[in-house]
Amino acid sequence: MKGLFSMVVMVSLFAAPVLSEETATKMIPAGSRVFIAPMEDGFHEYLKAAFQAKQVPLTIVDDNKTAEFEISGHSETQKASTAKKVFLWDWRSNEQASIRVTNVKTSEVVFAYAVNKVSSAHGKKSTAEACAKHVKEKIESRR
Amino acid sequence: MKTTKAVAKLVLLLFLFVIAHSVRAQVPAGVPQQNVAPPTPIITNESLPRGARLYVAPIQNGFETYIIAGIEKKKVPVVVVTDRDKADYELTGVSETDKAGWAKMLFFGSQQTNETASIKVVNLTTSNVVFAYSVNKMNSVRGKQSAGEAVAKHINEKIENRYH
Repeated sequence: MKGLFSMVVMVSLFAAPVLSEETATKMIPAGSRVFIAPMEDGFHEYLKAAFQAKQVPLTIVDDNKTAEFEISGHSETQKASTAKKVFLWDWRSNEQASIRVTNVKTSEVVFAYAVNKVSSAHGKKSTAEACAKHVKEKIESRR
Repeated sequence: MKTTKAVAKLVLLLFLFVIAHSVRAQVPAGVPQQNVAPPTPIITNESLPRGARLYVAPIQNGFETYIIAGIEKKKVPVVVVTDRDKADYELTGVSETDKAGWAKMLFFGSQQTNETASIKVVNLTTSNVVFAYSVNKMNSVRGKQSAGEAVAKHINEKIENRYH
């Protein structure tokens, strides 16, 4: 019984740092320096504004050499066609975007998120704010 | 009668000679037949291990970011890296989007897109294709996101050896 107990203690002692290291590499600590890479149609600008609006606890830097994390991604806008305006009486655009957050040091993707909004109420602004909201949730989850 | 038989034999011999000559002519001179490599398996039964370091190569229309987001959402147990040199496996593929036309909007009242994508995962050490998958979504509810998540789901099944 004693032997089993000591084995469990030994395993937990060795495994704990490994597990914590694994979760640490996937974490985005609050206050991290983040560089937002240029994206199609200037989506990175909307993303910066959304980070501000949603009060995401990150420091956005303009130089990727000083950054700890890099956000890159893709954005696509499908403006309402004449058919949509005439038949569906809808002027709003369809928006989709996808981002990934990469740890610059390890080159590992620590977070990724995709959003698709049909007839987006505020166009790119809505998708950017959705991305910002989920980045904030990731930071606050500390996982 | 004997003459006819002899002529028939001669014609047959001539025919065989012509065939043999033409076959020899098709084989390039100086290339020994033993040098032809046996066909190597393109798609293997190799498994995709948990925690594998996966590099997702750029795909048209930024589809790679949707796959990465799908991997995150479906909690696929791989480590996605952005540096190919640090990866064990590489994911490449193609993607296509067919937007809704006016007829679809008028007759079906639908503005959803049709999405097609196909991917393959290659072991960078052996160059073997360990997994390949294609998806076609008619009236995709969430566009590329749906296709990206379908890809991620099937990679997860491959890792868990649940793939048929």
